[in-house]
Amino acid sequence: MVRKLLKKLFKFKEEKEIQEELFPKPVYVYAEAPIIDES
Amino acid sequence: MKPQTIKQADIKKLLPEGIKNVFFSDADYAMFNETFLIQKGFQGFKKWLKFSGIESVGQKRYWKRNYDCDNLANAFKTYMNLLHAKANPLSFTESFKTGKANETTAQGVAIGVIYFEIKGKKTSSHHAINIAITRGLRNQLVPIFIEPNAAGKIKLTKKERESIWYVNF
Repeated sequence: MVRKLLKKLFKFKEEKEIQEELFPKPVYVYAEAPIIDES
Repeated sequence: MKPQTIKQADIKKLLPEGIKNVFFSDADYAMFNETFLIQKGFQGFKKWLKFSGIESVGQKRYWKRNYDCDNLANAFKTYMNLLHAKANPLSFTESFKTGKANETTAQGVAIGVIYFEIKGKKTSSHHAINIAITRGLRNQLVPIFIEPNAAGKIKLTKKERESIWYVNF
């Protein structure tokens, strides 16, 4: 509770939050799915 | 669906012909989506530089005499590989023990550093930027060029592409 309050007051960020901001999850190029002709 | 991977020979086919110095450090590479590379990924790179005390100042942006184009291009390559490693954290043993798998087993991400020549009327200089292999608008794998000094995706002229003399993935 105190930590939350201090965090809000001093606007500090947890290490995990900093990491998420600095290192976003990459979006890859995906192998194309095979085209299934159902006609 | 799994991320697509490419091998050294596939990358070589996408490079302009006749480059003397082409180096690869990994056996296979995953690729980042172009939108991610030039938007969220690029924003993250700039934040990472700022966090390291390298700030954009004036027209030179992130360029400093002791942190110039080759440093920025190498930093961009390193940063993107950090994202790749962070997104796929499990070692072979961890995967085996837990039964979980990384999204991709690719050793690296297809982002390299290139050096090329910029010719003026009477002058000539060399510049370092990044090359990335990604899927283009026509659904083909294409090389794109990225200026890591704040500009993002750029186009090279035919002459500039032909003047590339060093590539390192």
